[in-house]
Amino acid sequence: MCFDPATSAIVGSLALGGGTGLQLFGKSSQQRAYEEAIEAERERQRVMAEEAARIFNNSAGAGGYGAFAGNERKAVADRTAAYTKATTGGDAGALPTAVTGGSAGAAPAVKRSVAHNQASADRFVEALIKTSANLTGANDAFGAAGRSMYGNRLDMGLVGNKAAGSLNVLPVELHAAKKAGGIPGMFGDLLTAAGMSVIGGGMKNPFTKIGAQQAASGAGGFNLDAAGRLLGGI
Amino acid sequence: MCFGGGGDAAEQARADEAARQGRIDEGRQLIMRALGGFDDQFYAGRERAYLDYAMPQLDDQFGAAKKALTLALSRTGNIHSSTATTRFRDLQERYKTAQVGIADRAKSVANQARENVERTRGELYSQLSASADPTSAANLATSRASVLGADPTFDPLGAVFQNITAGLASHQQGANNRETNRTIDGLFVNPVTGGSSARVVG
Repeated sequence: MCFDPATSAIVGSLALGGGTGLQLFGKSSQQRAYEEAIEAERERQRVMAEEAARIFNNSAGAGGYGAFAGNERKAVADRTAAYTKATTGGDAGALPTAVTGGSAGAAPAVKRSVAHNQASADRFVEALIKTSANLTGANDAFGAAGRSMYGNRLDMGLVGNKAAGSLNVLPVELHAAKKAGGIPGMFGDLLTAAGMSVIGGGMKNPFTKIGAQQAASGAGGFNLDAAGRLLGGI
Repeated sequence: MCFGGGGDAAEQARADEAARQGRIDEGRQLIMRALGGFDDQFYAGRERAYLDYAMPQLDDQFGAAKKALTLALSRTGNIHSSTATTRFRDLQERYKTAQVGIADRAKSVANQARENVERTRGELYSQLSASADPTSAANLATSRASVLGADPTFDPLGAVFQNITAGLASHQQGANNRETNRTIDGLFVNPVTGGSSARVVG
């Protein structure tokens, strides 16, 4: 195709302008797609982080310092009840009648000894239950808190797994975002190239002409003033 | 030439991820349902099972120890003495200590069951996270739950009242020896001094 220089300059400039516009449009679409993908992922991560924080707060609430004292008291009470139940009933405390003398009764000294030893055994059992319950009750409370935290950690692990899986998709989305402005950008590239080509092609003749005139007049080289006049006349 | 294929791939990847997360949620629900029977009532049952297993053994041992102690005290002539009441107090304290020990062990059995269930849940979650397969997670959870729910086996109670009569036999032996010595000494009375003619040589 052949245009005169003025037409070439007009067409070329329009093409160049349009191409640049399309390129900018493509770039802006790409940028927007990028930002949308990142923003959407940020929102997903925020929701999952909130879920994880809720689970963590649950475990901090149920097994935390504030709740532990109450849990420990309850565990000690449970243990005390269990030990008391285990040591009550049956004839464990009864001495054989051979020792007590049966219904006939024993000697006063033996009776005193029986009473003394029975009181001693009762104190022993009471202290045993109390100290054992205090020790093991605290262990129970620690164990329950540990299991609760472990359970919550498992749930948080699943949330973490989902967060990681979601994040893994982001690079694919960003890669796709790069292509979001692809078609306008590509046409912009083509138009820009075409515009430059048209402008270049249109200016080729006057430059050649001017060059020939200058050669004839003995002044060689590219005349910018002449080119300026030519463009200024458009 | 591909102009917009990346977008489709990304949408597909996002949909796949959403589906994977849905399967994980479903699998978690199935695991929780399979392990749902392991509640406080179950653990109380475990505790009771151990008490039912061990307490009769202890009572048997206690009965036998009581009998052995009564006989030993009778043999040594101490049945109506403060020694007897002291000995029976010791026996009673050992019995109560063993009862508390059994109750303690029963609690441990229940706590161990709790830990086993939680550990199993952890393993199941781990598998679910890796596979995102709710069906296999549910099947595995069901089979693991049946193992966890099976009747446990307990070790028999050891000997609790060993040596309850210790010292009584030797006490009697000592008394017998002293009596023998007195008898022997009586055989060798010096008619002049009235004392024993026995003397230590070398």
